[in-house]
This record gives sequence, C-alpha cells and structure tokens, in this order.
Amino acid sequence: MLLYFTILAHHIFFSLIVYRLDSHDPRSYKKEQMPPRKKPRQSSASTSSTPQPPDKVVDYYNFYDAPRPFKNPQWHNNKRNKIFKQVMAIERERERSALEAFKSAKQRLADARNGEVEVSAEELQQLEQLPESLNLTNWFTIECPPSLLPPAKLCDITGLAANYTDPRTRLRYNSLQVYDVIKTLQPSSVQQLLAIRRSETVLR
Amino acid sequence: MTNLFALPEQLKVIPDGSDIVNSVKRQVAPNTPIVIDNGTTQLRADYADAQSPSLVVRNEGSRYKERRTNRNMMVYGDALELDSASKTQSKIPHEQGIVTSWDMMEHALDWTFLRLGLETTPPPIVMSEPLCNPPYPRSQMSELLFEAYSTPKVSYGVDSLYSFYNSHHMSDGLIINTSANTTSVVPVLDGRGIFSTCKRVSWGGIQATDLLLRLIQLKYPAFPAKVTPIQANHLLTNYCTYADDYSEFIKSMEDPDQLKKADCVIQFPYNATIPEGKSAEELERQAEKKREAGRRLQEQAAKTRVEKLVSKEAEVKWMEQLREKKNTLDPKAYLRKVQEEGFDDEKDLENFYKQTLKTLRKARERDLGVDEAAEKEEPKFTLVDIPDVQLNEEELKEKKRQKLLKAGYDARMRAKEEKEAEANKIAEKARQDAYEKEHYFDRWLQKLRDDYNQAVSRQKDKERMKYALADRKSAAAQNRMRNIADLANEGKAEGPSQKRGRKRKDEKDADDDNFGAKDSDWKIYKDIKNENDSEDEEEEAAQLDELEAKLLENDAQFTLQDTRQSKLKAQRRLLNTFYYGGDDPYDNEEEEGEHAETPEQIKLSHQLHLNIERCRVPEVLFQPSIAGSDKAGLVEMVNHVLKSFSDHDKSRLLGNVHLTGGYAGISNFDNKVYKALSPIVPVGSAFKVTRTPDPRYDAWKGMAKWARASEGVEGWVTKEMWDEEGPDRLEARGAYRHALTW
Repeated sequence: MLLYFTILAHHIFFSLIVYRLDSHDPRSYKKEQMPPRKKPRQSSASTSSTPQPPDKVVDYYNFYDAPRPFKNPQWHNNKRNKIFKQVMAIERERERSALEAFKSAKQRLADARNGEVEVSAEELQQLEQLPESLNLTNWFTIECPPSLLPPAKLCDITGLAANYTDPRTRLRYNSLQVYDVIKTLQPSSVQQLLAIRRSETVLR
Repeated sequence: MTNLFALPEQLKVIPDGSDIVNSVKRQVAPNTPIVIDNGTTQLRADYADAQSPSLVVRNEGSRYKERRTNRNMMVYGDALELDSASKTQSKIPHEQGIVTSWDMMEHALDWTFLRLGLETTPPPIVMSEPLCNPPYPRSQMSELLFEAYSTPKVSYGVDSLYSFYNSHHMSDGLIINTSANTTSVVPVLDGRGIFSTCKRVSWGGIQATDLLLRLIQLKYPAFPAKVTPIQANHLLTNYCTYADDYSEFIKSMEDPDQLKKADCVIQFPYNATIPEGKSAEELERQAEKKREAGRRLQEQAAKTRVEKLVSKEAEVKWMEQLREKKNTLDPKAYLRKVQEEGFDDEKDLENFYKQTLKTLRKARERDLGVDEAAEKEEPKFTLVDIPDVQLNEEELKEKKRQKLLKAGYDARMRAKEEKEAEANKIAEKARQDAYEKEHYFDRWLQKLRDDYNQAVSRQKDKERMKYALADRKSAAAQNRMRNIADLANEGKAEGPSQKRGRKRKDEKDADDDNFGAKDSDWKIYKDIKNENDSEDEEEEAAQLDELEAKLLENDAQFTLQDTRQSKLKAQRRLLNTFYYGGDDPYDNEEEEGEHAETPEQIKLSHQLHLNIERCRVPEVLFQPSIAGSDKAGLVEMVNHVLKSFSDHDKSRLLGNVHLTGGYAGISNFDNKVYKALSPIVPVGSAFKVTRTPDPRYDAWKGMAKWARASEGVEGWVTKEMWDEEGPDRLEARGAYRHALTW
C-alpha cells in the first residue's frame, strides 16, 4: 500500500511539473487521475522512493513511468530474442520442409495418375491444387543471383577508369600521378582502400 | 567559389518539443485503424484518417538507468539525441531489414500508442513488413500485438506495394523500391504484387552512406573534424547524384576542368579563432621591450667597465707611487713598506703591477674597438730553435710552452690560408664563368643546360632508388645486401664472396684487391647507407634551385613553366583538383612554418571536396562491383524479374515503372533508371518511369488509403483467429497473405 502511494505521489509530482510547463493542456489533469500501470518490473520501487524533479531535457521524454492503459497488464515478455542468423536458420529449415512436401506430393500425384497407388477423388483434387497452395517463395528465393557482367575496373583512389594495377599493393590506378600517391601509402591504408571493393587481405 | 555549401551546424534531429504527457489527442472516429510504417531507419505512425503521418521518428530506442538519480529511463526516437547516456545505449528493433529485437519493438509500440494518446485497447492496426518476411518475426509481431495490446485485428503488408497503391491504385507496374537496407524489384499486375518473381539485393541507403563515409575518410585521412554517419547521410541525399552514363562520366572527369566543374565543396563548421594569437602590434611592442632591456644591460655593463677602469688606474697610480719610493728609501725600509701595503715582497709587487697594467691596456683596447688578435703580430718563439743542451731548466720549461704555442699558431695560420685559397678558387671560378659567359655564351649555356638535366636525372635516380630499396625483394635491395656481406667479409681471405662481384677483377692479387685506390671505391659505403640523408638532398635541391634561377635568367627557352615546381604542379593538376578543387593549399606550408595558421587556412582545412564520389557512390546500385559485391545490378535485376513474363505482360509492367523507398530521393534517379532500362525494353513496348516527389511517406499514405478504402476489407487477421488457430496454422493456411498480393 505504501508503495502504491509513493508511486502515486511521484506521478502527481511529475505531472504537476509538466502542468506548470504547459498549462494550456487540459489533459495533464486527467493523467493524474488515472491509476498507475501495474508493472511487472521490480525496479519501480527504487525509482519512486526518492522522486526528483527532472533536471535534464531528456527527462521530459522519458516514458518509463507513463501509464499504459492500452496494454494488457498480464503481459510480460520473458522470451529471449532470436538474432538474425537464428531467424534465418528457422527460415532455411522451413524452406527445406516445404520443398520436400512439394516433391512428395508431386510424386504421389504422378503415381496416382499412373495408377500405381490408389487415392480417393478428394485427395486427388487436393494434390492437383497443391502447387498453388504451397507457397515456395521465401526470404531466400527472392535474393538476386550474382551478376554475369564483367566487374568494372576503377581507380581505387579516384574512382576514374583504371588502366593499370600495381603488383605490389594490388591497387588499381588511373595514371602515373595516382601511382605516385600509391607509393606513399601505408600498408594499413592500402588495405582500407582494397576493403572498399572487398579485396583486402583477410587473416583467418 | 560557386559550389560551396555549408554543412548545417546541427545535423541532429531534434524532437519537436511535444513529449508523451503533452501529446495532443486528436478526435478520431471509433475503430479508425492505426497505421504504422515500421521502417528500418524511420518509424511513421498515425491514425488512418490523417493525410500524412504526424509521428515520424528515427526507429531507435533506449532503455537504461540514469546513473546519478538511479531512475529508470525509456526514450524513443529523436529524443535519444538529448542525452549521451541514451545515445550510447540505444538499440534498433531491426537487423538487416527484419525485426529481431522484440523488447525494443515493444517500446516502439508503447511509445507510438502513448504519443497517439490511446486510452483503451488499440483499434485495428495496419503494419508494414519487409518483402517476404519470414513467418517467425511475423508470428512474434502478432503475439505482441494480440497478447500485449489485445488488438482486435491486424494486417501486414509490404511497404513498396502500399506505395504503388497510393500512386497508381490497382493498376499494373513494376516497383523499384530502394530503401535503407535493401533494394527490390516487384512486378505488379492488376494492383497485386507477384512475389514469386520479385528480386532483392542487399544494397540501400545505409550501405551507400557507409561507403561514402569510408571514401571521405580515405580521401582526407587528416580531416580535423569527425564526419559522422548522419553527416555522411546528409551529404549523400543532398549532393550525390546519378550519372546518366557512368563510364562516360568518369572519362570526362579525367579533364581537370570538368572535374572542377563537378566539384562540390562542403564547408564543415570550424572555429576560426587562433589560440593565444597575438596581434602584430603586440609582437612589435614585445620586441621593443626586449631591445630596450638589451640596451639597458649594455649601458650598465659599460658603466661598470668604466668604473673598473677608473679603479684600476687608481691602483696603478698608487703602485707607481710605491715603486718610486724604492729610489728614496733604503731596501729594508722599502721592503717593510711594501709588506705593509699587503704584498709579499718586491717581486710580488712587480708581478701585480705588470698584470694590472696588462688588463688595463686590454680594457682600453677593447673600448676603442681594436681587435687584439688581428693586431697581434707574429709572436716570437725565441727558444724553439735552440738545442736543449744549451738551456737551463727554466728555459727548457719555457721552450716547451713556446713549442705548444707555436703549433697552435701554425695551425691557425694554415687554416686561414686554406680559407683564402678556397675563396680565391671560388672567385676564380666565378670569373672564369663570367668570362665564358661573355665570350662563348652558347657553349656556356649548353653546359648549364647539361648540368641542370644531369642534376634532375640524378635526383630522379635517387628517388627511384629510394623507392626500390623500400621493397626488400627488389634487385636494388638485394644488391645492397650483397655489398654489405662482401664488405663484412673483407678481412677473411677465404670468404665465399671473394669469388663474386667486384673482386673478380683482382683475383690474381688475392690479399690486396686495391680497394680504396680509386675515389669511386668509397662510394659503396654511401650506397649501402640506407638512411635518408636529408642534408644531402637539401643541398642538391638548393643546387638545383640555383641552376634553375640561372637558366631562368639566361635561357630564353627556359620559362617559368619549365621549373620543377610548376612541372610537378601541372603533373598533379588532376589529383589536386580531386583533393582540393584546384591548387594544393598546403604546397607552401613548409616555408611558412607550422605556426602560420591563418583563419583562411583553418577554413580551407575544414572543407570537403566531393566530385567523383558524388556519382561513384550511387552508381553502386547499377554496378555493385564498384563496392566489391558480386550481386547483380539493378538492370540485371529487372531483367531477371521480367524474363518469366510474356511480352504483353512485360509491356504492362514496363509501362509504369514506379520508384519508391527512402533511398530513391537521390537526384536524377528517375532519369538514370530510364536511361539504364531503355536497352532492355522490347521494341514497341510502353515505357515510363515515375517517382513521387517525396518517396519517404508514400508507403504510409498508401497504407492509410488502403485502410480507409473498400479494399481494406480483406487481408486481416483477427484476435479470435489468433486465439483459435495459433501462429503455425495461420501461417500454414496463408491467413496473413495480403490483399495486395496474388
């Protein structure tokens, strides 16, 4: 109960400050009437014990303590996030099983048509519709295949057309004056320049 | 300079000042859907009845604990910029285009609903998702929306399709959507996207910004200001452009004048005040003060000198008086008198008297400005030539002293003579030169030219050698190593190197190879010395400058354009234009010294020159190999998409090529696409490329339009369906399939 009051006190305090700042807004009254959101987070106790006036501009944008009447009070997300790689692994697996299902259905359809296996009329109809209902398009199938055109050879320093390649640094260059620049380069900047077109030396 | 642009001092996005609590709730009809365009970099949201979204923020949030007050903080969007703690601990919900960070997504939704002033459970939600979003993130999003917010129904759709729907309603066309992370091509027939044939590459605004940033950093490694990604993005969207034909463009850029025309100068903010700068007057005053002090010191020294002189003179007078008494007094009384005055005996007095006289004379001479050394005649070394036997002990000592003095004197004389001889020689040479110049001018000039050319080629050789030695495996470096080994083996008669190289000639004389007999032999030590002998170089450069000056004066054919400096300038003109938009402002830096930083120079040093990069970065979309990617370019992508359609459908698609996405705002994109795609358009086919003025909000507007319109009836998943069937079945039966797709 004490905790409840302290939270309430905090909210009144906070909204009063806000009210002072923007007294034309009638809604700031309304806010303090609303019961605070029941939060599953334990940390709220420590914060409300010593309410302090916001001293930084960013504090006005802090919505940690703002009541959320639109939210399910029972909701508590305790799931761990899957990183991109894991999501892709799941997608990969889905792609594989979808392909397999498609192949086996096709096989079964062929067998049924040849009369090797007997299927009911209902199932035959289902099998015939399968290619349309099975969605084989996924994250990977829309990835564009590699280019078939020869890669452009451009000067690594200037971006002009490259007529030459320096055998020592493997940098491409446009003319003698660019070569003079290449001669002065440190190995690290040579690698950075090569990294622009992903041709740097990678140590594994 | 015509194309000088200032970079805004504040490139941060500053929140508009309306925070959560003060957000003004708009009156909307009940059940008006909330439309959320959940982009990788930008979140746009509002109720569907708005013309354009009122909430447009960076899609990035931060949850942290304030260190000092121990308060829990939760900030979303542009307000992140307000505090360093929120900035450093910020996270984005997306990873490579799909949502992976669900707690951050929850904060984003919390924030959105708070800002929209939502007080009950949310209305239906229209949400955007990436092309071919995997089922996992979709089910996670549904769980969040249905379980955490109890949304009655949800619809997911692809942003590019919505954008197309906004401009062209339910017609045919080809969408080229280039957004933050990806670029995709989606064919649309009868207003419905055909996903089975669409294509995507991982190149978008983020990658282009990164490339531009890296190019800038490599072009100006010593740039005084730190270029941030936000600034780089500003440069990309404002100054980069598509070249109609890139190969033609870079060919034209090889001309420095054309390059200068394309040059964009970006002035970064700088602080022009020179730290602890002193004005000229102040410096003058200081110097005056110093001079004054010096003068005073000199005066003081002269004064003390005079005083000393006076006292010394008094002393001499007093001693002379004392000595005069010798004649009047008897020896004993005189000795007593002398001892009374503080001397040991008569001899002591005499010594002291002589010494004082000597110092007095010297001081007078100095006052008169007479150089004692020059004045001095040749000292007499009387005892040096007398044999020792004829001398007593004291004289022997004196002889030894004289010998030493004589040696020193002789050495001085010799040096003097040599100096004179040298001066004579130079004078003689100059005279000879002048004589030759006067009488045989042509020959003289030819010789001068030859000398100059030789010196230039020598310098070039030296530079080449220096570069060759930098590589351990070069022939020059190997040769040097061999020479070192040879020299080290010199002492050992049976060294293996005896049989090699230089020594082969003198093999008959194995013990003595006559090394050093010729002056050129010693050059080898100079050759193996690897250090930069900058002194030598400076000397040679000075010599070359002298020759150049002479040639400029006398040779009519040798003009200012022929000097080394201007030749170098002409040679580096293209690169100087590339780096500095003209001449190298740091060319004369060495002469001025490092303290000569004027405000003008500081201003120049804070300037970025964008010229070739302006087209090089956007061009990657069409030629990914520029950025080292083996992926297909946009034209190939469109080809891939088109090849599965009939000629009739191709014409339907190409008749309406729609450009959209956050990265599509770069200037000349529509023209470039038109020019690039023209060759692959079948003969007789319709072909049109359109781009909306602000492609950023297209998708949101389309979503809102769809949500308001009659088409928006189908394509929803309700909470009842979710509760009953669960994510897997919904996915399996294609319940999420959007109305705008086939």
